[in-house]
Amino acid sequence: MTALAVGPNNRKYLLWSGTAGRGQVWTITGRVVTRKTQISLPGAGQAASLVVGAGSDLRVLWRGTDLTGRLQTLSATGAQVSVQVFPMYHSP
Amino acid sequence: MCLAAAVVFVVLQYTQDHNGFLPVTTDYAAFQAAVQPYIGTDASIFVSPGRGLPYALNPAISGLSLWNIPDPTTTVLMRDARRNADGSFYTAFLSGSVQQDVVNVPLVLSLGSANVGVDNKTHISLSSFTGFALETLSATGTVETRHDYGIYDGWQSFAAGGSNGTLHRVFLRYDGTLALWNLSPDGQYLRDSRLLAPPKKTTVGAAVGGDALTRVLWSGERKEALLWRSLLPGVWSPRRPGQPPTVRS
Repeated sequence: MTALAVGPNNRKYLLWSGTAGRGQVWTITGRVVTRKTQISLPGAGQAASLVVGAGSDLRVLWRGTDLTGRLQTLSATGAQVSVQVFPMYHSP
Repeated sequence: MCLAAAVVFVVLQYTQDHNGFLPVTTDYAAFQAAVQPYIGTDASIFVSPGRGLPYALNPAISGLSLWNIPDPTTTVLMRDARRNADGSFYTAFLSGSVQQDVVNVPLVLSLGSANVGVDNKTHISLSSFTGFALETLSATGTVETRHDYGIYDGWQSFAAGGSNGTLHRVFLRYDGTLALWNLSPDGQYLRDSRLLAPPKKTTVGAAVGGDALTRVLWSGERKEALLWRSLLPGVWSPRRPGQPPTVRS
């Protein structure tokens, strides 16, 4: 388990990180796990952080093994909306 | 310089014995513990002789496989935390070379935590040796703004957003203290508060309550947790004064 977030509906969200761009987000209502959402982003490395938007949409931060980062935005049902890539950085 | 080269040698030895994986570099105590078997009892090599400060490790390579590093000759393992009294400034690379006064090497971003503000936008901390930045993205993931804050002597950051739209960032500093930055909703720097972290505790997160105060969570070696909050800028207290709540799992 790598991250915990609380949504606008007071539900709790747990992020489980697998390997090679895979993971799961559990939605917890009260003490019951009400949803397990599979997430994946090929080549993205490990899921590192999770936040939940106002519409219960999921935003997952991935750390890549190639030293890049990605922010994946998903709908509340787990459908991918967008991916923002943060490439290697060169100092000015 | 010799000490920096020695640390690189030790790290490469560690990597060889761990199937090519680098040690943790996001936590100095954990890094020292990982490579300690390769140096014996002499911990002095972890400290730059110039300033007497621990070297600044590159958090972006923590735990990665050496085989996934695109170019070890330009990937920084660590560097002096400050310019030395004699003006020197050393940078050690994963290839084993140590160079002085390197000013324009490709560095990598270390992604800090993300948080959602009251505007439903995502705020992300990005840090490197040359400073750190905050990026604000729309709810659909489009980058809207980026603020660069220049060089700062803290690296790993934890992000949180206040109900009043302010941004809160907690930095781990090289001297072991924490810094809390308060930023306005549009990313302007407001204030910096300092906190001495509890001994033998690892900072794991930060959050902001409806009272606009920051909470910082620590975990300890025995799986205990400490939750602190800031009352006023620069003034911190445990949730129960004198007796922080301890939760054992």
